[in-house]
Amino acid sequence: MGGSLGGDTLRPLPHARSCRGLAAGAVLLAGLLLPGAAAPQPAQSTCAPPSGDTGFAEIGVNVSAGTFDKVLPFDVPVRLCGTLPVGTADVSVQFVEAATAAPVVDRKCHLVAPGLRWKPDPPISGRIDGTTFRAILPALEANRYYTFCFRRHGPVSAGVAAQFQPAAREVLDRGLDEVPAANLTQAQSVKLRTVLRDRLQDVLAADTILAEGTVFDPRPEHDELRGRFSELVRNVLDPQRRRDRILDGDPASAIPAFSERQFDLGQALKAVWTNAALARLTAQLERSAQTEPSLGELLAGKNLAAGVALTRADESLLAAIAHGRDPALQGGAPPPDLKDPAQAAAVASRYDATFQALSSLAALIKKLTDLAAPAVLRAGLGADDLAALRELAAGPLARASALSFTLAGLARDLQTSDAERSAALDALAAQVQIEAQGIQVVDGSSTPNFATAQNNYVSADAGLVYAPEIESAVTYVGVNLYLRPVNKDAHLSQLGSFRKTFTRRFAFTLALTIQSVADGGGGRVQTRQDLFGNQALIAGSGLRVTDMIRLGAGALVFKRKDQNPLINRFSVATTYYFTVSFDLNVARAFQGGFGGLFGKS
Amino acid sequence: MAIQIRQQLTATPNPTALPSQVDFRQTLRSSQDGESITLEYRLAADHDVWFKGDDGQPTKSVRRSATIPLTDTVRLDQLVLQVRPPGLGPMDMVEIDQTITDAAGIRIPDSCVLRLLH
Repeated sequence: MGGSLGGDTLRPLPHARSCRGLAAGAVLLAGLLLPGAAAPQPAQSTCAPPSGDTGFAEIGVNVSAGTFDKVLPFDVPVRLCGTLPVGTADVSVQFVEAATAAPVVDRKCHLVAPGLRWKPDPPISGRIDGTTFRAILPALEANRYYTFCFRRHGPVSAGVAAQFQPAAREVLDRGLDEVPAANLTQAQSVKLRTVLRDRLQDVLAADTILAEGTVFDPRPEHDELRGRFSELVRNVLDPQRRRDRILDGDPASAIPAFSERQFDLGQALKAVWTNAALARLTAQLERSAQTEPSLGELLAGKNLAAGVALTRADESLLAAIAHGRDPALQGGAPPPDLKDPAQAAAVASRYDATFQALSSLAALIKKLTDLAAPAVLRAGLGADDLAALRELAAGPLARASALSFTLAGLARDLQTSDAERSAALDALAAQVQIEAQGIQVVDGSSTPNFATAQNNYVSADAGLVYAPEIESAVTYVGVNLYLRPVNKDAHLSQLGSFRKTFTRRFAFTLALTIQSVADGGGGRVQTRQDLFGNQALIAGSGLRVTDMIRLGAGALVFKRKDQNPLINRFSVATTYYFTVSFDLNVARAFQGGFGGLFGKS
Repeated sequence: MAIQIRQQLTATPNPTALPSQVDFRQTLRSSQDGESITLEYRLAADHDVWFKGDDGQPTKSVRRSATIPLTDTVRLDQLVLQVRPPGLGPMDMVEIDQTITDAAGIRIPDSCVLRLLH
């Protein structure tokens, strides 16, 4: 299998080479994470293995890719080596094994299938040297499926925290917007901190956040939003409360909503617009202006012109003016968003203009209703008109003027409050970012599984066979057939008692003698022959008493002369034997030539 | 005959420990020179923070009056706040709602939040 290790390179130690027979194609489950996409990249590997025999199978792991650089061996302790992002405080490893199928684990190391559990518990801690870590796994079992999980524990980096700030601001904006008063209740704070923590976890793609005592800790006893952060929270809630009272009104104080004031302004403008005396006045003034240049100049003044124009506006234009909308955007244009400082400022400017126009109109009416008014202004107006205009000026026109002045001021208050709230949110989010930078994150992720050997093991056997009945001792060579996978790199003494290691010791033996067991010759009568040419067959079993030395017994198969001296015929016969042999690694023998049979390295 | 808030209400000192005299400042202007207005400061009814009334008695609302010119004018109202039962407490923050009523009867809101030290 030997997955790629990325930047990691490991030279296999002689004794730690993977066993022939280990199944390839299994899957590795590894995780390790690293908070988020902006996590620091692993540094170059320093996983070159020591030159001597370490006693471990040295395996490189690429925790980002979830791969090992070779098939995992069994029965020998494994030392994993890999690289971690800068700043990792510690890393731990656990695995889960299953006999029949790959354990089902999600990407975050959560066991999906019932009955499985991560082991060992507590996890195996890795040793970190700079950005390199090493962790020692206990000997794995053969014929098993394994899933590994690497959990990294480290602080949130400055880059990740900065990445989180916009999300934090959004959470705080929405969360605090729902707070109707200046006091953040405990329940509101818990909810807000929970959402903050969840969002941070999303941004980090993290498994667990160790945020005890921080603003991300939702437990009631660590209410930092109402503690260390209370001043910053107040700076948000204060302008927010002002904004809300302006926009929504305050029934307890008989304060109308902003929209109600706009409606009132619309009604007042309509009363001005429908005033017949004012209509006659403006018509008369415009006629007079054609023959009286000074009057024309008076009417051409910006504010008065706007006031006069108001008297000719249609209903939709009046509605737009009353709502502070841009008259050029009538129709389907959405109403201004008064929670946006820029739009609130634009609305304030429009109400200012309306106030100026209405004030100019009021001033004109005051001028012409004055006893000393120039005749040119009063031309064509009767006493009833003047009385109606006085009534208009003191009533609807004054009301519209006051309302537009008030609305201009309130819209400007909205602009200020919105801007203050926005700045306070920025400050709060920045502080939350700093807080995030200090917290610890534990992360894990998963990829596919890994399997150890699924095949039984065959080794070479060579030694001395002694058959007491025929008083013959010869050398032989053959094979041992184990009933389970055996890792010849594993020392029997490290695998437990004789009983525990019995299946790793016991094997059936099939061999041929190297020398002949035939007798006769030199004048003696031949009583036995070899089974095949000059070789007899050995069939039996044996037990390794050490890693290499095996004692065995079984049947030596040869040909024996019929005991009837009249019959000169040889038939197959057996006799028991004992052997002392060397249990050799067949794989190594074939890889390194036949001479490799007798050498360990 | 209308009022605009030019600088919104602030409380000084803030935060503060109670009882304390708190200065409430804001800048107002009127559309009409010399407009008479009233200002009402109000605290929520359910907590244990109270104003000290002009008669020395605790009260949840205090009224002031003023005359506002056309130009921006800084107003200062000095009010004493105190903690006393009944009411929920201790409070970390209290909100002071202000309502300004102009000569035409138009009511406009302002408010500030006072953080309390314990």
